[in-house]
Amino acid sequence: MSTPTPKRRGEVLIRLDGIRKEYQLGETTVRALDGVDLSICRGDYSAILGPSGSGKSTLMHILGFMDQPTGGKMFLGEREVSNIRPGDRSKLRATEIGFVFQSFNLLSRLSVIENVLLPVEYARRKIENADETAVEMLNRVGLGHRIHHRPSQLSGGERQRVAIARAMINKPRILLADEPTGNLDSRNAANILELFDHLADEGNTLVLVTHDESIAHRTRRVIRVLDGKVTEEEVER
Amino acid sequence: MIIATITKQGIREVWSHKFRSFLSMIGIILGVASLVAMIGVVQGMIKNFTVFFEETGGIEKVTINSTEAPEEQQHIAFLSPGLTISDFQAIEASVPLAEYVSPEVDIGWTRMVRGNKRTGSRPKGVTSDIQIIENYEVAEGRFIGDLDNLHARPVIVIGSEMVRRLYERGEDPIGTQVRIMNQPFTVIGVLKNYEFNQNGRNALRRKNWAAFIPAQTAAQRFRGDNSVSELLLKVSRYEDLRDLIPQLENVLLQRHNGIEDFEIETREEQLAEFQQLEKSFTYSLGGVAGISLLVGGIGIMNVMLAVVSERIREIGVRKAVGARSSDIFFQFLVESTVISVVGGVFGILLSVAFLQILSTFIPDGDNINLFPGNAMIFGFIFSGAVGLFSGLYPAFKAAQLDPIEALRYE
Ligand SMILES: Nc1ncnc2c1ncn2[C@@H]1O[C@H](COP(=O)(O)OP(=O)(O)O)[C@@H](O)[C@H]1O
Ligand SMILES: [Mg+2]
Repeated sequence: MSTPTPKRRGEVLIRLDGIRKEYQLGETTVRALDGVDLSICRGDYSAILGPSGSGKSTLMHILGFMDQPTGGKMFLGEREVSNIRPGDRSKLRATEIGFVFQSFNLLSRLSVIENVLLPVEYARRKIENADETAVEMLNRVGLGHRIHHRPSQLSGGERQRVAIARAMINKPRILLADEPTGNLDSRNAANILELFDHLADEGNTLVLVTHDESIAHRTRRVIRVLDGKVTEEEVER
Repeated sequence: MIIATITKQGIREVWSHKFRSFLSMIGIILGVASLVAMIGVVQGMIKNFTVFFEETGGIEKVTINSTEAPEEQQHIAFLSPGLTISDFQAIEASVPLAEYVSPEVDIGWTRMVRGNKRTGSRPKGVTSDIQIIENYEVAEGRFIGDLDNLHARPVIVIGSEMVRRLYERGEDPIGTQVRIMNQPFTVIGVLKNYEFNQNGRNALRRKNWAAFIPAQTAAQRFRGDNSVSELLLKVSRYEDLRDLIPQLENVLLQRHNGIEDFEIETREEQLAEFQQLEKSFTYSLGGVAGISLLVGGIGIMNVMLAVVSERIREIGVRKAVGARSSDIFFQFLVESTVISVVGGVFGILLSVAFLQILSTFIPDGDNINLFPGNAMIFGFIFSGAVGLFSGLYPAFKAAQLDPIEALRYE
């Protein structure tokens, strides 16, 4: 099922064309993604909505260059990236994609600012005043005063803010968030979602995964996924 | 920048697990300490030998002894005049490879008397070349010269022990007279005092007992003939020995009418024997040090494998935010290298203590190298290499991890 791209949307950043992902578990083949066509455009604020096990995370991993599809084609802008080398995928992860996880995934032995700076190191780009950029990033998520704390000294909501700052530090083309509020209480979850709304309003491209209808409907585009297929799309009510 | 950061974080990681890091270093510490200490001990052994060897003439020295003629020549042995001062003159004249030559005319143990003081001594008749052949340095006065030999002058050069026994402290021996078998000799030179402690004794004490008189004087005044007990030679280059020996044989056989009543000895065998000993020492001690370094390396590898599986999630996170496999590989390699290099430094420090203890407890310990700098540098580099090597496999395992699987790992 291909989606016609409405005129008013920005340029296509990532396009999936018949993407499949299969896992071989002994004799049985698990089909996590079964022919997904999807385009993410500049400025999109999308939700991927679906029940547990429907393939949302698998889709996000492929969008985030953390996993490779077993079939289909994938484009980053004009460039085909279905079968690029691991080193190139690492580079794209560092520079083009920001990824926010359900379980924060901060490194406990590094301070808040060191966590935020990790993608800068790995991007190997000369950034002047990387530290200042990190502090600015942390200020934007409201944690400018805790840069030298350890993740263990922060609440869940604060940790997720650090993770968002880390995901945004290299000004990625797309920010991916896989159930970012799944580990948070409702108050913290609301804060984080507000932060996402805000980032979207600023023009960032966001894709977030949820199984919660109410969260999905904050966004401008809902992509429903079931059994590894995109079943329905609602664009901009 | 990335390398600096990885290195910094690696050091911090090792530091934040001080005790575990220390435990994992113990093998390296002991390995490097025993390696360095072993080299210090062997260097001491080598020094014991080489100083003695050099001070008694070195590898370039050749000795010609007179011997009995062999069985089959016994009945014609009388045809040979034996080893004489004329042989010395012939060699000097016709064997240019023999850079330095001196006869040794032995007059046996005798008493040397000065006023009411006396001492046992064994004066030897020589020429000036003996100074170079056997490394004697004149501390005061001069050595025996060619004119002394030509005129068979009654002059003598004595070693420091002779001086101690015949003179008061502060007295100047030069120009004084001593008597040997009632014949007066004028002291023209005093030799340097030789000291080289080994086993708590002066290994060079024999040199201090030296008493040299001109060979001609010894021949004429004491022996009454031309015979010599030994001829001593020295080549200027070790390589000349091979050509020298047959030349000497030719000259001497001709002069002795074909009778083989002499024996040419080089010191190669002595040196080879020592080198064999040195080799077996080095191999066995090196083997011990090598095994403990190997064990140390395995210990580090073990710890690093544990560290990697403990930090699988961290590896997943790093990869998810853009770390390449090579970044992860390098990260763990740095950690294992930091551990073993720090262990190496501790080992070097420990080796100083080891050597101090060894030098007081082992009998040949006087000349142990207490601070073998080269060995320490070697130990340091070696520990780094062990760290690199033992980190390879764990780092490779870490680098191979798939980010998603690593992140899912609990
Ligand atoms: N590594 C894997 N090995 C085998 N099956 C997997 C693996 N990862 C995901 N799956 C399967 O793929 C399907 C989709 O999983 P996932 O993308 O995690 O779903 P969601 O995130 O929507 O809950 C599930 O049936 C899951 O069991
Ligand atoms: Mg999921």
